[in-house]
Amino acid sequence: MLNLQHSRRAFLRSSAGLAGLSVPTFFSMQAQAATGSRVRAKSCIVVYTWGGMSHLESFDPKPHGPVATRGEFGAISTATPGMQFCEHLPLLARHSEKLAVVRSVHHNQGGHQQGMYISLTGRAPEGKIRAKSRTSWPSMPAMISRFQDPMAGTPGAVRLPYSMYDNGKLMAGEYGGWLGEKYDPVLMRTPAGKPFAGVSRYTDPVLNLKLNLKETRMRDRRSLLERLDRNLNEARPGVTALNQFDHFQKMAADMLLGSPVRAAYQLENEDPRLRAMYGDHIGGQSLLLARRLVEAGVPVVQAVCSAGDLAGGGGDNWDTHRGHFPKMKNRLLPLFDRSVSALLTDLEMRGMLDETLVVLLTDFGRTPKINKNGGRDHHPAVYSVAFAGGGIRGGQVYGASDESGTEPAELACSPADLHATVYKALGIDHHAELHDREGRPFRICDGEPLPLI
Amino acid sequence: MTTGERLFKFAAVMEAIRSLGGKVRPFGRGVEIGFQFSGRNLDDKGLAKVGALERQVILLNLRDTQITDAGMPHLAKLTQLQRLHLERTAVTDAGLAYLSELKELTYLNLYGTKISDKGLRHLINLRKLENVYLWGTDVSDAGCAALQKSLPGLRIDRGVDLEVIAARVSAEKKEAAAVKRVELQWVPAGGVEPPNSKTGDFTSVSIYNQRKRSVKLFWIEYGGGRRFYAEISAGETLLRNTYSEATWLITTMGEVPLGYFIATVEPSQITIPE
Repeated sequence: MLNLQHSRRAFLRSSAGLAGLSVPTFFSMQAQAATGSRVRAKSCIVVYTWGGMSHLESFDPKPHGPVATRGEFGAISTATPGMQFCEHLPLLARHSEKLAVVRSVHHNQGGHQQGMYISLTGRAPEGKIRAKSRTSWPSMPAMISRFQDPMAGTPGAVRLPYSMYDNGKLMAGEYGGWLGEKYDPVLMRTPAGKPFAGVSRYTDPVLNLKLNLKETRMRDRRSLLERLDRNLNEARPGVTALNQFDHFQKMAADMLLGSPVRAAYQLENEDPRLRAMYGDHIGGQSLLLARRLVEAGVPVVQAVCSAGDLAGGGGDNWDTHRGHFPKMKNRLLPLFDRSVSALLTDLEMRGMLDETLVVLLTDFGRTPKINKNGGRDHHPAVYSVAFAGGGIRGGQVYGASDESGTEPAELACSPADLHATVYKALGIDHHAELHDREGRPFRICDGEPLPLI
Repeated sequence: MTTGERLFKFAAVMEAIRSLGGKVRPFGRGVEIGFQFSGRNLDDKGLAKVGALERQVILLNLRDTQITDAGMPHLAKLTQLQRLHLERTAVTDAGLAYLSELKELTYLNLYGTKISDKGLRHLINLRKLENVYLWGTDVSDAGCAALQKSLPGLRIDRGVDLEVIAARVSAEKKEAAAVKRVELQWVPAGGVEPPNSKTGDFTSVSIYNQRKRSVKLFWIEYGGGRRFYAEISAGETLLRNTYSEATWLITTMGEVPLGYFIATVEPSQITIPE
């Protein structure tokens, strides 16, 4: 359990440094200052399409590829000549001038746990990995928070709206790892939709019967929560037990109540028309919350952009082994298109895009070969990611896959290279060396930045 | 002033800015200063301290602070300023007059302020201005066109029109409501047990609760067992994504079964009777 008093003292200490700089940040700033007055990204929003988003039905369509593999959808032009997207991303197509699309990412981790681990930490898993292990690698958001200096009362990193589980097992890769508990990103439920307030039945230990052995135990927990609900609603109206379940465990009460973050968390304060722009589903409302948290001073927010509705319905993730095309067309792509476009529009009109780096990541791509259930399976051999804002030059495609989308054709790169690119945009030296609590040195990243800035 | 005196004065000003909640970092040839997080109590008096740094300030973020037009004269001294954030402050057209000589300005953020076309006229000589943000201000098409004419290279961002979004959402709702739905059969409780759901295709069902009290909606799992999905208030219509062949159970709030229905492949609807 996090020692809350200790972390509060640590926060106060860290903001009392040289004219407001903590020592590591100051030195990394020294390196950056020499490069002139390009404004630096100060915040990062990671949009994670968990389950593996098909590159062929998103940023790397193959309308002229082999008939057997190119799939049912066509491609559309974007605002950038020569850059095409899947036909079901029409809103994002209009934002292409903001996007740098990388079509040549690859790794060799085929399972969800391993794919998610390498995508979020930049490292292949070594041996058996467990979620909260202190020997596993920190996620990129956790690592970023190590170099930022948020105001006292603000979490260094937030992840939302729920932890990632695969078949009942909590997945490793989105925690602070060897950086220590202090750098575990804080979990926040997206407070939208009642009565679940952003809980996903697929992943929540209270509501998911797979994660909870006995149905009676779940019933007991629900009635306990209902009782807690009544007590807590008296103390703090509008906040239900379900949505404070995790984050009150992790944050000092005064940290959550630090007023800009708390105000950001109250989604009902947002103009309902703006909420509607993001879309009436957990992915959309999570991205809206991400923007609000960044505006309130949270340096990095990781949002799972799932397609679940606000009642915790299924169909959350992108792992389309069956019925891939109807699921992508009816559910997944329209929601992704709408909510990411809304985020880019929102950041741009508030003048925040220069200083906010948006990264669209996923576990891996999906196979060109279509299986007998009309699905595509896991495919880490090549896939696409995209960047926007934070000084990234938009309107460009970096790298390419071969004609069927099976492997990289040029400029192959790794998840670690993507992370190096993020660190560079944020003014963090990707070769910086940190020490774990035993004093062992680790270089934070093994990749090299892509020339996207 | 000797070098020592200059350094001492500089340190004193930095200390004052820090105690006002400003965060200072090296930037280009000078510094960037941000008050938007811990410095939101900054007022016009505090702004005087920033003004004392004169040519050193390259980026200044005053978003959400308490400054007013009365503090703006201090900004006139920041002759090397490139990026200025004034969004969500009480600055008005009169205050913008003090920016008219900041010739190095490339970025100006005014979203959520009460400035109007009059204020825009103060910006026409800022030849290096690349981006100006005007969402939620009182500027008009005419005022923006005039500014664009003076500064053809300037990108004027007026943001989204929330009314247009509202209209689009309303049209989407109408379209969804117009979808032809087949009527499902309601099977009251007391007879046959609701069957387990089978896998099917992606579709939707519209559930109207005609009762005078709220009900609970459960999905019957493939292996049997109930899974809670939603509460439906009296008189409420819930549009629910579902798969065809899914079995949905309706109970009272105390979880006493009232009846069930099974989705079909076509979009469907059901009324929960009194």
